[in-house]
Amino acid sequence: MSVDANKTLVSKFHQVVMVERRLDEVAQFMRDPLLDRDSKGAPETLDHVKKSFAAYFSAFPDLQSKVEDLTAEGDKVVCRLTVSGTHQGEYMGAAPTGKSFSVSAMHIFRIVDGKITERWEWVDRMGIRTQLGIQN
Amino acid sequence: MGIELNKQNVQRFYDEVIGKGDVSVIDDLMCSEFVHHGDALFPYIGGSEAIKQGVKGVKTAYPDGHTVIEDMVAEGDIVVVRLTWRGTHLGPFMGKEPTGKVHKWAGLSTYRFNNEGKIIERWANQDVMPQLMALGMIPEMKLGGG
Repeated sequence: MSVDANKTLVSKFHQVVMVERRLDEVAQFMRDPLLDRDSKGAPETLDHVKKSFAAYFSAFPDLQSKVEDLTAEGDKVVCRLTVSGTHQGEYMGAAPTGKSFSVSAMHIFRIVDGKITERWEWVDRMGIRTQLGIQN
Repeated sequence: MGIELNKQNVQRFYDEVIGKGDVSVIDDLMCSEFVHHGDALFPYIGGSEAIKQGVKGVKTAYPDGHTVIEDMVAEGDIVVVRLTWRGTHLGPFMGKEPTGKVHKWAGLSTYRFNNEGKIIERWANQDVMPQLMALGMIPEMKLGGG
């Protein structure tokens, strides 16, 4: 796959899964399981990936995710996002506050044979907690 | 200018500025109107002079603080780095007395270069919650994914 084809794959993944929330289509874009490098490279099943997205969509029903840059080299594509939403459902154990947040997030994807096989992700969780006023 | 040179300059920033604390190198690498977009810990820093002060502050708190670059992805005027930082807390940091403990965090940063090959902007995303917990600046909590 060329660098441009990899970028197209990540753009489509973002549009279909994160914007249109068609979670049943995740398998078109990701190998099952993929390697989640933030959990020390543990295999993560697509079932788990879908559940994490669903948890965000349920905590923040108006969640918006905007791609700021896509940067690609070799078999990697980096996606820098701005994510925003209103806290209307439970988020990591915290009851809904009704407050809104807007933070940055970044994902690095490694793509092999047209599918995302590894992921490093970063979301400004501290920023989300601060903006929502979650203490615990 | 070129992608390879941009990558070398990001490597120099971490080796010479963050690792060795040589803030004079910042003038070679960044333009004066450089802007840092960060997160909850350092949300916004405007100007390369402010970066010098920030680096000096962290270096005083963590004299052996240094970054290991784990990966770089570059295209056009952008260089993205995936990194880990670690340092021993031997001086005051954000009002907290030294603990003598090693603190570390992982991060992803995006650097944008201008037409003269200098860094003009950066989005720095650092997973600092473990460090802040270790410093007692936020309560201990279990961190889930994402």
